[in-house]
Amino acid sequence: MMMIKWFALVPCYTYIISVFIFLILAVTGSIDALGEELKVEEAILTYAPEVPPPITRRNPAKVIIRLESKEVVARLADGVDYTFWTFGGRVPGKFIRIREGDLVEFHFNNHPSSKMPHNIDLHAVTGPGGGAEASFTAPGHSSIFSFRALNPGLYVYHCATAPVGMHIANGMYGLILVEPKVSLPKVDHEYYVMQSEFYTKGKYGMPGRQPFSMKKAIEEKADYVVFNGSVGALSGDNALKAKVGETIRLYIGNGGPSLLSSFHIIGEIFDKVYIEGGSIINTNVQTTSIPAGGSTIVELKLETAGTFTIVDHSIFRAFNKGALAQLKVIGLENKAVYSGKQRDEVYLPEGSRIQTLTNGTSNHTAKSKEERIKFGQQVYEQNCAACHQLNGTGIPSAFPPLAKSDYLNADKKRAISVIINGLSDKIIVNGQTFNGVMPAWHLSDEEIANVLTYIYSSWENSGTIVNPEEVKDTRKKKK
Amino acid sequence: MLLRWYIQLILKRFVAINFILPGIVVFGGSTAIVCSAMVISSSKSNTVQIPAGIYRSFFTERFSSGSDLVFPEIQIDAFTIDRYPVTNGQFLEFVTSNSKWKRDQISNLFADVTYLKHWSGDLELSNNAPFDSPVVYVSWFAAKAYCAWHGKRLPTTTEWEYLASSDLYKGRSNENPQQIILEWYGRPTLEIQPKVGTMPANKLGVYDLHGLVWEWTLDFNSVMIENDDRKGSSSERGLFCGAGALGGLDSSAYADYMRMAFRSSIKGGFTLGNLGFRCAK
Amino acid sequence: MVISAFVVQNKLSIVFLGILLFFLGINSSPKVEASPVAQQRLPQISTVFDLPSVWTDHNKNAFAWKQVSGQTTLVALIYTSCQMSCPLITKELLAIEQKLFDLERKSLRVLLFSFDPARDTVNRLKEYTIKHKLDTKRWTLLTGTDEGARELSVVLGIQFKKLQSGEFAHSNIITVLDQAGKIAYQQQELGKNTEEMLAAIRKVISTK
Repeated sequence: MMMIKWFALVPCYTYIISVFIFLILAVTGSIDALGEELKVEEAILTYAPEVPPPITRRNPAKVIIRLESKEVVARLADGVDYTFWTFGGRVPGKFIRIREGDLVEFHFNNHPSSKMPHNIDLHAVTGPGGGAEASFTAPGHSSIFSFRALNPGLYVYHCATAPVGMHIANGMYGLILVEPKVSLPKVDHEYYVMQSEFYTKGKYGMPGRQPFSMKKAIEEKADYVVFNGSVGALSGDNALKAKVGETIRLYIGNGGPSLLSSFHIIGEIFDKVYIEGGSIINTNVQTTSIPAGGSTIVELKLETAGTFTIVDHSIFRAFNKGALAQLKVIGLENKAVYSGKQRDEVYLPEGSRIQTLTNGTSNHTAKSKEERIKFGQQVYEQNCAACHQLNGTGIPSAFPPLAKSDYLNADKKRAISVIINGLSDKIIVNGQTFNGVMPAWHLSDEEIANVLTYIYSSWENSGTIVNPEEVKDTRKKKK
Repeated sequence: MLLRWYIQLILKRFVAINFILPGIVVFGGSTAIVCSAMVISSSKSNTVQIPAGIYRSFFTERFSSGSDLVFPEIQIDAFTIDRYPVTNGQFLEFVTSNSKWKRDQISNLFADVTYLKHWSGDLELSNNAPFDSPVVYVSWFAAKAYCAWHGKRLPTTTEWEYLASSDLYKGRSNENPQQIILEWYGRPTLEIQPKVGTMPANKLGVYDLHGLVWEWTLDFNSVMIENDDRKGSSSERGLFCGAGALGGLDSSAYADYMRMAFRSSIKGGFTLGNLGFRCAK
Repeated sequence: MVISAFVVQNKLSIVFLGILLFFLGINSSPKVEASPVAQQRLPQISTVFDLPSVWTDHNKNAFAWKQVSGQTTLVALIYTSCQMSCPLITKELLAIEQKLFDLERKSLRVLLFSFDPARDTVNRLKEYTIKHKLDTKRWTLLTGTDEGARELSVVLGIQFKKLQSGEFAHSNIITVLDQAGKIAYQQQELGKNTEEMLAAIRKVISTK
């Protein structure tokens, strides 16, 4: 009897004890209201193009983010300075990486040297103003607010202080990645790229400290369209780097303020595009759109080496406004994928197959050698001089000379045959090798006789006469 | 004959040199002295008389329910304004005679912890706080007390905006005042403020309204802009009463807009490195 | 012997107590670091009670802040000609007053200051108390000077602006002051966070 009673009591006591412990933990703040135990961690923030390391934990955490707004003077292009308003001291703002379900405690600090108040609207936040209301901060002050990351995705954040367009135009934007619960597949490199425009009083390239032009901004007439805050920020030594065979992922944002981006990497195709930074994946994409205030994620496997240019394919922005970046892929070239130039050939307008050229038949019948030469010269100038030149010198390595040509003088019949049938063999003329193609010419026997007579009697050639009967004979022997 | 002519000539010259010439010199000189004294004294005089005027409000208002939102034309009575912002030297004089406002004595209600932090001592300026530079790191309460001590007051936001308005902006005719002012706001805050009088005067001779320091006004907290600018005017009943009567604002006056946004971000006890003040009467 | 018997009899309670203390110990470390600037100097502490402005109440008596010293005070700024939210502010304050238990209500005071001294005479204030059936044991309406109203609004962080039409645009902040005059809580928007407000009031009342 005692045993039965004891068995009944043990679960009872266990239950009471565990409820009690739970209450204690809840009261003393060790457990989040939702019943999950939240670890507290400081977010690692990085400057572009670096990205914080992937999140490996499997549970939500309480993440503390400290971000400072600061107004700094820095280089916009060679010889051009600009007063940037920044998140973290540079444009674009620091990259934030959290996980779906995290509880964020956001410390927004406005540096005392700022002239303006600033705030932050994170597109990842569900709540009034995306945090902007709660974070409006005077210079030298700090605001703290909390939010829970409900949706995964890659989100833009930006300042929303009046006048908003100006705050954004001066560089106040960045990206926050909310990793999904099931993390993204591992890749070899991840990079952060953000496109944006700048509107300056002077035109593109005008040196000196350029002030912001509100007029141009309202008219959406950008002077500079750049990746990562300045012309050349991702070029040359600052290019993105990877190795052949690696897969890279680019987290790309468009800070605007106004222009849409047509993002393209010359010579590469995106294997995967997370459309608009969301959850739907497109494959085999050449150029992807990034709305202003939006983002995209692309993944690509690098199959061959080289320097790949990254552009906004609204192409004048790339070549005249600075929307150019570089991806340098090091390693062995893969000729099977891309060979580079294999050879250079002469291009003749009618193509490289031997074709007949019609040039209208002439009915001139020569009655003497002089007449032959005269008519022949006309034929030569109309048909042959284009390649063999008026003075018969030809063009070295391309068209053999007819002047003092050993090949020509050696065999009259062969010369006739060449005009009738064309020639695509390798030949040696006056010691030089020629490997081109001469088309067959649709000329009458008379015309061929005349032109050859002319050629043989010019430029120290043998002086032989060619008559129409010989041409006719050779023609019969064709093929 | 020749001698007499010669002597007469010299006598004439003598008279000229000794009477007429000095006369001219004295007369001309004294006029010059008086004129320049007047100019100097008027430019060095600390206050400017502002005649009555009309200020076109930055915010729209509705005069009665159902009527349209308009930009009211606000009547401004004549007033006197300090020509320059209050300097470190002037403020030092004030705290020396009013120990309640000294850095080590001031209460947390009236200023936050960075009050006068650029001074090297409670009654000592420093290299970062030149005598003739506008005083910064002062709160609204301290500014108000200073003006009261001088028998003056802080200017109202309307008065200040009137002085700062595009109509009174003195510049080249092809310049857009809003753009020029915006450029000044675009420059970063200097660690050491330059002397007062560095920035140009407006048409009435008031200096430094743009590009030197932000300035406190008596009713800085009358700016009804919500923290999140995208909502436009504050039409939220829950937050602001009378919001139905207060409408939008003139978003083309972007320099004015920035000043209003700045005012809505500060509280009375704040002390900032780029915020000073001047007095009015 | 007595002690050991006590322990044996109450061991469950002692175990629970031990666990409680353990977890309280873990969580007692400060969560937020003091900013370095704040540590530079310790300012004099003063509160709303130290404001020098002069106010007259609806019974024509001079007002002194020390009248509410030791009480839990709700403060708002209104004006009697207000058509829109001032009546709502009053209603909200009345509702809060109702929600409190009798004992709690004893130490509650409500102060309504006027933005509009030009029109809000003592008589107008008195009418207002009657119209809204305010319990004047606890409620006091006050009028003073423009300067005093401006100063109080700045101290409490309340925006207000006199419009051309004579109306006032103002924020609807309700402030809870503790017994020493420090701001314990502020409700930014009408009708939001009433539970939070009540909790804050109760916290002040219970702290003596």
